[in-house]
Amino acid sequence: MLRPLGETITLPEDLFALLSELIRQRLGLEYTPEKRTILQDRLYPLLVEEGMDSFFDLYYLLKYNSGNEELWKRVQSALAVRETYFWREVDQILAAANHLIPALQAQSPGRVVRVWHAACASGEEPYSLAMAVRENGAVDWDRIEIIGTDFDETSLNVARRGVYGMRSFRVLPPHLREKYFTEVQSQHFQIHEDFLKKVQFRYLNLMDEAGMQSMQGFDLIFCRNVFIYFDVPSITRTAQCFYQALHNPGYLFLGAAESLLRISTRFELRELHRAFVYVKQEKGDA
Amino acid sequence: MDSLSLEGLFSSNWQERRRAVEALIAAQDEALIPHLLEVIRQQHRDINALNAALQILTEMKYDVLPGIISLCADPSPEVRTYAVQVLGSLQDERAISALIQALDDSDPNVQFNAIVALGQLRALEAIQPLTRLARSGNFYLAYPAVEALIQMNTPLILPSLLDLLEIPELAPAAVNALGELGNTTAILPILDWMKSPHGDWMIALPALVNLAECCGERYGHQKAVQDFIIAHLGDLFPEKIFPFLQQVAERRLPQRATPTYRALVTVTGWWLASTVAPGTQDALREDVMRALALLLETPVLRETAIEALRMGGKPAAPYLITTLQHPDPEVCILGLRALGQAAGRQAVPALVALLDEEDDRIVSLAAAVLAKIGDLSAFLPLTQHLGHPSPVVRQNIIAALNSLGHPEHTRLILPLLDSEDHWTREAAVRTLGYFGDPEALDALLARFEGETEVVQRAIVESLPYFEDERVTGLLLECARSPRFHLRQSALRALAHAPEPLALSILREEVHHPDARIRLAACRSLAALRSPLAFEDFMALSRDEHPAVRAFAVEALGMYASRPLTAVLRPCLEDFEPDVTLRAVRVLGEQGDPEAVPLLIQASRSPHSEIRREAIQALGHFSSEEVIDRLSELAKNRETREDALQALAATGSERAALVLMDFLTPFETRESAIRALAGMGDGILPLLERHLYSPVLPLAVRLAIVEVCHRMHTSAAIETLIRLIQHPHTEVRLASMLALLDLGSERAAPVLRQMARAEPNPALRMLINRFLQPSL
Repeated sequence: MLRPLGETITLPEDLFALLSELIRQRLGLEYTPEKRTILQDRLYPLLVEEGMDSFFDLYYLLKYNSGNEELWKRVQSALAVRETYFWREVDQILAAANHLIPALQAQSPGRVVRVWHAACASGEEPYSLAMAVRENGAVDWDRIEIIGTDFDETSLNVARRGVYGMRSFRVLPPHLREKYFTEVQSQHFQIHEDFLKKVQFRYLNLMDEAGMQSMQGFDLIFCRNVFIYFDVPSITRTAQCFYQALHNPGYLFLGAAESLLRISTRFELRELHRAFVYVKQEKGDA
Repeated sequence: MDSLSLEGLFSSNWQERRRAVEALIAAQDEALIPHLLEVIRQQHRDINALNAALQILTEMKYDVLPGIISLCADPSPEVRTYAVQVLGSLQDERAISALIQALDDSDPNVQFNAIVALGQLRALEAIQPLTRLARSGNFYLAYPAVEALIQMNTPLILPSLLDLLEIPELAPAAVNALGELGNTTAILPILDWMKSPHGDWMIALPALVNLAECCGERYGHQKAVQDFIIAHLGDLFPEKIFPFLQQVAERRLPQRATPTYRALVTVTGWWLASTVAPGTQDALREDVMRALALLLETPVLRETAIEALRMGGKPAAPYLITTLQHPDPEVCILGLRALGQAAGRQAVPALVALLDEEDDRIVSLAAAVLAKIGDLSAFLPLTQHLGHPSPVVRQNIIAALNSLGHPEHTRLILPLLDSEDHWTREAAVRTLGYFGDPEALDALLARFEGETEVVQRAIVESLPYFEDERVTGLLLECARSPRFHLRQSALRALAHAPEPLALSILREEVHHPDARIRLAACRSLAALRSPLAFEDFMALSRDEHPAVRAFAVEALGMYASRPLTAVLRPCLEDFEPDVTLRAVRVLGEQGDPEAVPLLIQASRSPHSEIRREAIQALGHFSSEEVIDRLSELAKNRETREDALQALAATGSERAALVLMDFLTPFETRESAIRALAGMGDGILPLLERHLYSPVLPLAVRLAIVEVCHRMHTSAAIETLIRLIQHPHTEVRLASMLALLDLGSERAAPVLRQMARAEPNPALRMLINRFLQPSL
């Protein structure tokens, strides 16, 4: 039904408490009361799309309807944070491309350095790393493998096409856009083919234990601005998976607003080349 | 008494000491107290023993206060210092007079610790001696004295703080504290200080912003305060504040949004918004807006700058339009929100361009702003986006088109029914349906059979808006369609159809085997608000699907005059918390006294949301057992805020008395003041009577004055006027400050009278000082 201009369906406080608890139990995503409007805004398009009259319908469908897997997937997709852009929090990207990756390549000649961008959304972050690696002539392009994963197929499809609007370029130096992208339609640019080939994208839900176990043998993991949406048990579980997925030594990059300080992990926080990195370094192995 | 444990306090082994401390605390032997005091007196150089003795003393259930107070007279300044520290941590008001005495101790450490302890105790009795120390010129004591005064958080410290403005070293702290107090009588003194040779507007501006925000939050007159501040800033804005703003903007100075920078931008916004600003020349306004636009490049101040520009109204629109091209989508969104309140026709081309944006939020907002501007030139560009892939965007575009109300609406939209894109056709149907133009109905009915289900649903949902006999037949047909979505749309449409037709179909459909159909029917039935549906909802409240039960329970709430307690009783045991929650709400609104035991039971639910709802529901009753239960819940930190509000909602005198009990602990005072202020004029006689009780603590008296201040009704002002005759000087002072803050004309002659007749000369002097241009 049509609503007056600008009016959206609101998520009342009481229903928010029930719905957010349901989401926390199922997806491990935490929405505290001050994030009520964020949850409302993220799920609202789903309501409109499904022709639902209120969040009441969504709550009951998610909780009681059998065969609601598809709806849960769409909720997950709606809650995915797609807001990203090239060269975001670039200090970590540069530390990886200019220092860690060359060092790892030098330590083990012949071995491919493997990088995993977990929850990479539409792919700007893994492509940023690939560009930074390209800019550093000292890195052997053929001995680096970059994998991006996300649980939102829509975002992954954007990443696989590699076509981006102007908003994605807001901080990327213009000369890099000119060097590595081609304008394919007005104000939309596609990344060059060698990058499309270099970065592989796969579906992966960080909450899926079996899927997480399948990710092994990485040297670097980027998982930035994801843990801010997780509850503590989910962070602990995911951090443990990352630890197991990493070689020794291995490096985990989190977002600027995130930390593992409130949970107990075997990672050690270090400042390397102007970037904070969680390092896996087990004695007597590396 | 266990002498072995006492000896253990002196052990060099920390584990032994800890065991001794634990044993002595567990023993709770009153005879131990003199020995512990002796340890402090004689063995205080042994820091381990001293700490152990202090820890045991503070955890004794016996009255240790007299013993510790006796240590304040010990010849050793170290012992006196420790005694004063313990008195602060015990939080016992009986220590106040000993601590006030300790302010005059010969040892500065004792004095210092006494100041800190009095601050911790929020001892209003210490305001005068603390003010004296603050003015003493001994800055080792003066700074903590100012801090302690600030901790009191009462308007009574206002005169003291104003006095401190004369001491250059202490004035900044005093100005900050005046901002926190949020009393408008401080505005002119702050402004005077700001303009004085040792004044600093970078300190004064954040204080003024804080003050205005406090006034808005507590008393609801922020705009008047803003205008008053701007009117009295005089030349300071063009001569000092604006040049600094310009410098900040041009050099992109701040990396962090410090209170000074934020206040600078906020006050600039006030200046733009103010109609009384002296020297609001057009040229200066343009320069100011240009500087604010430049600040958009300074990330930490962007949001404040956009808000300031918004306050500039329509003249600021060109500067806000520049935000629409900003590469950061969040800036664009902030700009759009501001433009929603300030935009004129000149914004239309930029807004139309945004309809091609990739960010759905931006497109939706752009459509909404275009609708608000109401320029018909946006109509055709909007129609080009009716097939947008995002349903939210489509919805906003439809709403914008409807809002524009183009005189040729039907003629311009009808061709879109032939679009190849089904989303465009669906949206076109919905906007045609909104106006219910008979000319459109033929086209919709003619296309119905050949259309996709999405469009058919839109047509069905539009049918009730057309007054035509053909509508009924199609609605009836679709309401019985085997296609679920079409049937659901028809049931939805019936909520807006004529009652006799709708009622018969819906009452039938609420028994459909598919719960989704039952829910859709239930919802439309509720929208009809028919008394005939009461029995249906009663039955549906026992439906097998929790969603149907929950909705039916809520619908039952419409039948205010029907007995519901027995019907809803089983719902309170429902496994789905949402059903219980709704039942609790309805029972509260019904106000049936028989529901009280059920609600009291629900207030013990393991679900926090149900507890909360039950507490609110109890606010609809005022029986003894309800007040008792709410009083109990108010003692629990988790449920306190809701329970205090519910007590206020009962409106009963007994509840007001309970609320007054919560005025004493500092941590519950603010909540209790808010709750009492919300009870309305009815409780004023009770509050006033209490103010004359001889045993009432000073803090409670002042809190009651604050309640009257917050109410700011005519009756509350009359009460405050009477209170300036109160026997307690502090009550007279607080009432006077409240009246001055409220700026009531009715109070002016009384205050002038008080300026002549006030018996306390210091207070008389103050009134004369405060009689100033009011808000």
